[in-house]
Formats: sequence, C-alpha cells, structure tokens
Amino acid sequence: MDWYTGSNFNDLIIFLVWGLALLVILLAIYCFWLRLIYDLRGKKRKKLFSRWEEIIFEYLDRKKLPSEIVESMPKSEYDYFLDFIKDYLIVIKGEDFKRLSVLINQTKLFSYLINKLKQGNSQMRSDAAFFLGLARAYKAKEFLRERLKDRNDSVSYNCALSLAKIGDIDAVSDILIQYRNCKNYSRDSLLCILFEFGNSVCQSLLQHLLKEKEDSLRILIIDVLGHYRYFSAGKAILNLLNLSNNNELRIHCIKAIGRMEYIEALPTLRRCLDEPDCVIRSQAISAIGKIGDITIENKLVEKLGDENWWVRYRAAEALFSTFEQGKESLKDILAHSKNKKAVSAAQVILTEKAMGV
Amino acid sequence: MANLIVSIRFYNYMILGYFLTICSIYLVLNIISFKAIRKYTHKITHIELKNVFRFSNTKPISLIVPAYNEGNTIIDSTKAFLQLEYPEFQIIVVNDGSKDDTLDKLITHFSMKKVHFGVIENLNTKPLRGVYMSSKYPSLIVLDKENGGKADAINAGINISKNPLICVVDADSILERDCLLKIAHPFMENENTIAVGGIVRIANGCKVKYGRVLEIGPPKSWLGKIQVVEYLRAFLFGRTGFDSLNAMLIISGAFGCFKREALIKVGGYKSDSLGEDMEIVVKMHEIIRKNNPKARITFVPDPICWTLVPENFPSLRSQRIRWQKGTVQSLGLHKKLFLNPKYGWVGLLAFPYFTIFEMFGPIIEFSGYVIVILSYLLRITDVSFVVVFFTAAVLYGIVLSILSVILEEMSFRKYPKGVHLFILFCASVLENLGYRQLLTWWRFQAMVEYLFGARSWGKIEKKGFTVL
Repeated sequence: MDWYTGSNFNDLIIFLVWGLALLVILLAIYCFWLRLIYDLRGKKRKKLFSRWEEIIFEYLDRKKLPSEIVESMPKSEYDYFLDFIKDYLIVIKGEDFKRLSVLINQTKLFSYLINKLKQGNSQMRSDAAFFLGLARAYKAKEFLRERLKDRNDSVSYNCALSLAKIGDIDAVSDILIQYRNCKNYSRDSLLCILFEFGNSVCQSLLQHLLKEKEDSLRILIIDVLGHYRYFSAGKAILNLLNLSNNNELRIHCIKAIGRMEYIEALPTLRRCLDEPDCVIRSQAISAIGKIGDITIENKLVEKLGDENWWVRYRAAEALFSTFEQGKESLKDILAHSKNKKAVSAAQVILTEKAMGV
Repeated sequence: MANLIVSIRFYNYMILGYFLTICSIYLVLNIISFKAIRKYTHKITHIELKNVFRFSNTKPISLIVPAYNEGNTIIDSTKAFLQLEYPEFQIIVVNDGSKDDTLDKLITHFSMKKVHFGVIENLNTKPLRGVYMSSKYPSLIVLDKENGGKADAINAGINISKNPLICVVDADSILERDCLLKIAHPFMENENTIAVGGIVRIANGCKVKYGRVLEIGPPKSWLGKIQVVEYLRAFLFGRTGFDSLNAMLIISGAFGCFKREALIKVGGYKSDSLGEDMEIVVKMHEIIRKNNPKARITFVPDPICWTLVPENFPSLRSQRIRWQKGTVQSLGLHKKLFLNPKYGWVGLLAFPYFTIFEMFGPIIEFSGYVIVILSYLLRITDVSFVVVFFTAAVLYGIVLSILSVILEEMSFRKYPKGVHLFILFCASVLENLGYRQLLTWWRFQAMVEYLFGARSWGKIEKKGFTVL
C-alpha cells in the first residue's frame, strides 16, 4: 500500500530529479546555443544585405546585369537574397520594379523557386508561391495553377494570390471552383485575392455572376464588382436585388449599387426603405444618399424616427450630404423636434461632421 | 488515528496524481504550442498586412480604453494609440470617474470639447457625464462617466462605438504600431472568429518615447524579471496551446479584440465582474458556441501590447488576489460548461483544467504542503522523500519556464542582448524558488476571502513608463 514511501519509489523520484536537473542544464545550453546560431545568422544576413544594397542600386542604375548578381551567387545564399529583395519588390513600383523582378524571373532563381514549388515541403511551396507572385512571374502561372489544389491551405492561398498579382484572369474560374469545393480559405481571404486582380477581373466576374447559382459566391462577386464600381454589372445586380429572397444577398446588392451610383436602381431602393429588415433599410438609405436622390427628403426625415439606430443614423447622414439644406434641416430637428430618436440622430451627425469624423 | 493516517495516505496519492496530471497537461500544451508558433511565424512572414487591409472589406475598429486614475500614463498611451496603423479606427477613452487628473489631462492635451453625442446600444452602465471630441483628432472620443468599474466603462464605450470590431486595451498599455492589423487579421481569415487575444509583454524596463517602445529590456527588479518569464509561459505556451484546440477561456483584459455583434449578443461585460476578461470569453463560449459550434475565439502571439506590471509585493498581491477571485467568479457563473461535450474541448478540457488547476489548485497545493508536513510528523513518510519530491516539482517548473524562453528565442526574440537571455534564465530558476509558492499562498487567501464574501478590486500602485 505504502509503495510511495518505499525505497524503490524514492529511487524512482531521485532518478527523476537527476533527469530533470540534467534536462534543465541541457535546455539552458540549447537556449544559449540557439541565441548563438541566430546571432551568427543575423550577422551573416547583415553582411550580405549591406553588400547587396550597393549592388542592387548599381543594378537599378543599369551598371550591372542580372546574371552578374545572381549567377555568381552560391545556392546557399538564395534564400537570404529572396529575403533581401522582398521589401524592395513590395515597395518599389514602375520601371525599377520591372528590373528587380527580372532578377527572379530571368535568372537561376526562377528554376530554384519552381523546384521548391514542385518538390518542397509545404513551407517551401508556400514560400515559392509567394515570391513568384511578388515578382509577377508570368511564366510560372501554369505551375501555380497546378498548386491551387494543394492540400495545404497556405500553399493554395499563396498560389491563388500570386496568380492574382500576376493578373492571370483565366485562373479566376479555377480559384472560384477551388473555393466552392474546398473552402480552404475564408470569404475575406478570397475577396482579397479577387481584389488583387484589379478592375480587369470585373468582366470575367460578371460572366460568372450571370451563371452562378450559389448565393455565397454571388455575394463575393458582387462585393468585388461594387468595390471597383463596375457600372456594366449594375443591371445584373439590380435583377438579383429584385428577384432574390435572400436578404444577405440583397444587402450586398444594395451596397454595390450604392458604390457604383447606379441611378436606375432608385425606384427599387425607394421601395427598400419600407422593408422589415433594418439592415436593408439602412443600406438602402445609404445607397440613395450616395446616388443623390433629391425627391426623398421627406422620407429621410421620416426615417430619422425609425426604430433602428442605424437607419436613423444613415438617414441623418444622407440628409446632411445629399441636400444643400440638409445641415439646416438637421439643426431645425435638433432645435424643434419632439422626437427624441430623431434629435439624437441629428445630434450625432452634426457633431461628427463638425469634428471632421 | 489509524483513520487519519489512511486519509493522509489517500490524500498523498491524490496530490501525486494531481502533480502528474498537471505535468502531462503542460507537456502536451508545450508540444502543441511549439508547432503552432512555428506555423504562425512562417505564415506571418508572407502576409503583406497593409495590402490585405486596403480593400473595402476591411472591418473598422473601435479601440476602447477604460481609464481610472491613469493620469501618469494616459497621454503617452493615447498618443501611441493615435499612431496605430489601420485603415479605419476610432479611439474611445472612457474616464471611469477618475479621482486624479486623467480627464483634465486628456481635455488639455488633445484640445477636447464637450459635445452632444447619442448612444447606439443600451448596455446598462453608470450615468454618462459627458462626451468630448476634438477637431484636431477626429478619431479620438473621450467619454466621461461615473465610476462603475472596468467592465462598466467598457460597456459605456461599446454603447457609442459604431464599428464592427471592438478592441479593448488597458490605459496603461502601449500597442505596437501594426498590432491592429495583426489582431484583425484572424477575423479576415476565418469568418467564424468572434474574438482574438494578443500577447501582453512587460514594459517595465523598456524605454518609451513618443508613445512607442524604442528599447526593450528586462525590468530592474527581480520581481519584474520573474513576471517576464511568467508572462512568456502564460501567453506563449498556455494561450497558444489552448488556442490550437479552440479552447481559449481567457483573453487578457490588457488587449483583446471582439466582434461587436458577439459582444452585444452576450449582453456586454458583466458590470460587477472581478475578472471581466475571463467572464466575457467564457460567456461567449456558453452563449455563442451553443448555436454556432464553429465560432472561434483565438489567440495571436504576435500583436504586442506592452503593459506595466506591479514591482512591489502589496500591489502584486492585490492584482493576483483579484485575478484569482475573477477566475472563481467566472467559472462559477458558467459552471454548465464543466465536462459538457456540447462545447467541445472547452467543456471537456479547458473548463475542467481551469476549475481543477486554476480555481482549486491553490487549495490543493497549499493543503499538499500541510499534509506533507503532517505525513512527516506522523512518520508516514520520511524527510528525504519530501525534499526529493519538492525538488522534482521545482525542477519541472524550471523546465517549463525555460521551454517558454526557448519558444521566445525560436520565434520573436524580443530581448536583444545575450545578457537579457541570461537574466531570463536566472528568472526561470528563481520563479520556482519562492515566487510560485508565494502566489499559491495569495491565491489560497483569495479563495478564502471570496468564500467569505470579500469581492473588491483592491488597489494597485501604478508608475509611468520609462520615457527616453
């Protein structure tokens, strides 16, 4: 029963104590060894970076050829060089960017990255996809498309983002299919990818919108079309707003229509002002405010007394920004109205505008 | 007498079981954390955060800063908040009826004017005394209200915030410039994310200028240095480990970000809470995950919030007693989560872990010391066993602390000098020789006080940052 007081158990615990003491010493040594390694790596990195800094500016000044920089570099320094050039590729634009990207696209670094993308572990594949996108490596698009279906989320995401940076519009379908089938990145992540294509993606997305049956994807496409104010999509989005029973989809339609200031949507938007869903009402007011419908001043004043705070706020905001006399109307409401809700909404907007919010 | 001896022996077995279980849990959490942090550090190197947040799907943030008698630090920290990098955010400083010059300093320094401003939500709070804005700093709002405690002040801030994300930050904290980008990113990555916690690091010993930490160093006192290791262990492997299981039960009150709609859905913070940071998270698990099991409360080890910690024993005691009482209160309020499989790992692992090891831990550990002494006096066990067992426990604690320092070395390496590493190593040893036992004693006292109804916040002496 009292084995724990027995000498065997004591021996076991003593053995454990010695083991733990040894572990403490080993961990401490490992910790300092890690610091030493990182410091040495840091020094090497610093030395290489300061050498490359001079070289890169000479290269941008056309005093050096790409091959002179990369071909003489040992393979062990490739990752350091990619790390070095990363910030330049992110920050620099125009002709200098094109010259910098040549250092990756037309040298040994390209095949190095392609090999990593094909054969490396998930971290290497992800790195390679990232750098190929950063350097706008158009030649790599087929390899990146292949890796869209990668089981690792990070690799798949970086491939999609890189294809977007490269501007490979043909890959949009694959990216949407991948999202629909695997959902291996979020809605917002997909939005970022689609935004990254720039407004050139809109035409392709409009074609997808006309064919698409799934509301979650429709919403995403509408958000991008709205973001880029793609006016040609106004009709299709208005149709969805009129025909859909999905309020979430309709809310995104209203937002997009407002952003693109699609004037043909005004009759529909006016009808939306009396919808039971408060988000639809508030977004419709916001959209009408952006388009600038001067016929609904009284309706907006009425909406200042709506039961929902956001509807009241948007109505006050629309009154202020749409009508010349909007500011005076709000001041008048503040001074004379007995409706506390309307007064509060007017107060918030007048204060915010006065403070420059 | 025979019965007493049998009982003591049985209790000794229990203590041994308790010790082995907690060691195993820590080991598993360590392994999970190493993997998770490595994955995170790799991921973050390839995310161009500024690019991610330049589009129209970016979610604006309201930064709520509850402030009570923060005259020493409020200007520095508010200046730092104004410099944060994020496309759209507002700062709401809530003066919770401070008795010092917190409000006057804010009004004078930022040229604030009293304005009329309506509330959006109707979470119950103590009455508002005024809202102040400044045309020089349009993104800054100061809310003055009667004293109602931290939770009440946060609720008042929520009531006037319009943005879909709400970030709560302590007034005596400094945020790194890109930390909003980092803490908002999980909301973009996963639409089910409802709350995100960031890492809190210790600002004592760091040099601050223009509201930014310019030089990082360990605190001067050993009490501060030990807390550096303690925070590393709590955040880098405690939070990261539980996060990997979607079982985070606490987001530090010093820095956390929430979906506004989730906060409203759970009725905001509990006003009389002693541990509002834990209570809100446990409540979110209970209410939101009940309907949406995919809802995620997560932790990001990188967005850094620098905060001041107490460097004297009375203040530290006061802080730890409040934390312990807060833990007991939060767990007691939401006890239906205990071993409830509906809540996944939260119900099956995190909640029982917190109940057994965090809530009852001090009682078990304290009584363990008493029983061991009794066992020795009654000759149930010999002194060599007691010494060896205690040594094993201390060494295991040192191993865990050093593992946290290694985790820091492998990931963020915030402490630049070799001598800092040596200090952290020494603190890892010292932490387990007296400091942890002292904490156990305070936490035990907190349990006793809580049972007898003493539920006040206590007083903590606060110093300002070391300004360059």
